[in-house]
Amino acid sequence: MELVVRGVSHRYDELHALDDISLTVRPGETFVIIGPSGCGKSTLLGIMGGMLEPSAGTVEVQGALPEGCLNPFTYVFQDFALLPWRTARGNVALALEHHPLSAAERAARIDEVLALCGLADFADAYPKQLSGGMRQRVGIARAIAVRPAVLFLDEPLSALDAQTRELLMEDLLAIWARERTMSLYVTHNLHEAHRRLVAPAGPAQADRRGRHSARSARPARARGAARPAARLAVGLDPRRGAGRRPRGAECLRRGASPSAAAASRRAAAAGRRGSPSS
Amino acid sequence: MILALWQAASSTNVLPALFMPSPVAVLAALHDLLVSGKLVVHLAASLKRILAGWVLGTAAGLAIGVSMGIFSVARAIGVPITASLFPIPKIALLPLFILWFGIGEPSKIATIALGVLFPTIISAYSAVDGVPRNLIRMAQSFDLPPADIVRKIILPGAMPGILAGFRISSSIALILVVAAEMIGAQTGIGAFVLAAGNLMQTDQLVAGVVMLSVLGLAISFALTRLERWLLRWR
Repeated sequence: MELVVRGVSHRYDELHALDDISLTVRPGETFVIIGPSGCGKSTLLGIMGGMLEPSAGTVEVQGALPEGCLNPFTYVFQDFALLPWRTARGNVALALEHHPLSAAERAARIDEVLALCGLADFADAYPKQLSGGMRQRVGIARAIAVRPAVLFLDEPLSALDAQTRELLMEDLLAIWARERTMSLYVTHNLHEAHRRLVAPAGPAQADRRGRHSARSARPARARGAARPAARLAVGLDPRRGAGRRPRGAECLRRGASPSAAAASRRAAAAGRRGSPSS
Repeated sequence: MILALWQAASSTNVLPALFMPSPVAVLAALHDLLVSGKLVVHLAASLKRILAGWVLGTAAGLAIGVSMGIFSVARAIGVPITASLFPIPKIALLPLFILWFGIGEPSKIATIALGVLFPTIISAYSAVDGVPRNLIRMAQSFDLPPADIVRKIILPGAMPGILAGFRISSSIALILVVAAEMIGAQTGIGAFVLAAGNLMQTDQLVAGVVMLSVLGLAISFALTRLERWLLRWR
């Protein structure tokens, strides 16, 4: 299944939020959209996920949905968007309750994703009893419980402290490696984008595994599991409006062979320039 | 301390019994009312009216207020109507209700229900309006049907505001039941207080006021328990 965006533009009254964006997200790929606050990243995500109607252009899903998919598109929100009156289990259940699943199937799915997100011991905790990182893990568990075709992550780590961000990013990488869900990841944080693109898979991974096993509540990436492909879109222009037309996103490709460090440097340079990289 | 000072002032005749009976006299009057069975009769009559009027007014207020919070058409119609009718003292409508429904129970219950209706509408509307939009967007992103969004997101999210409205509306119900009973009733705490005042039986009168105070405390206690149960996640 591919997600194809063609010539998408969006205006908020006189303000050009997006202008002529075209891109294709391929199966199993994570597409990182990075840019400064207010440059239209979340607008693009909302349009791609069908939450917003674009002023112009189309978003198409090409190909069949993955097997077992209950919701084609799901979101992980910056502010977690958890229901405070439901436990972690109840919040995940919300995404499944209106689907035709038996009680046993539903319970199994909930247990599976809570365990995957390192929340097996906190299933009956209310959001107020969880840390920020754990709340976001509930949000992630809820989003992947429906086995979405596309997972939209709208600055999922920006409400967290630096240390929690790092830990949760590792968890996200492990979840991506296992689930291989097509994902769109919006962030204004270049470091987060780099982690997604170029996180090392050598000896450092062994260290990470060690920490995971010490903290059994958190998921560990399977030994030798390959990281799915990731691409980075940069340069959505924050100076939109006032007649200025932002240029469409271009992409850095992280394939199997190119140097990850080189990709990282290119992305960093592009971010500093604030314009599309080539 | 206040009770001791009050008793001392009454015992030394600083406070004449005609104007303010002593606490002991009030307790004695309450005891007499309890023993004679009058207390139960008056309390039960008032409670029945409060319960019927409050349930009717609250049910209608919740339906209208939640609709106003959800549907823009209902909001456009409901907001100006509520704003124009809410300030009217509902007890002023009792004579009209007596003409419509007779001197019996329906006119008093209608007065209480109408008095409860508007604060409930306002609190329910505000509470629904205050449900975080991000929760509704989240539910929409998971394709929850609209009925599920109302049942699983909007109503639980609005519950704290709705329960706060219950506190206000229950107090209004208590005020209105006394006023309505003073205008046209044989039983009920309001009728009892009015009769005691007419006969200058101030010990009975203050005993009736104490009954009202205890009734208010009991309602508040019940609502607190309800809040603790419904909002146990807080």
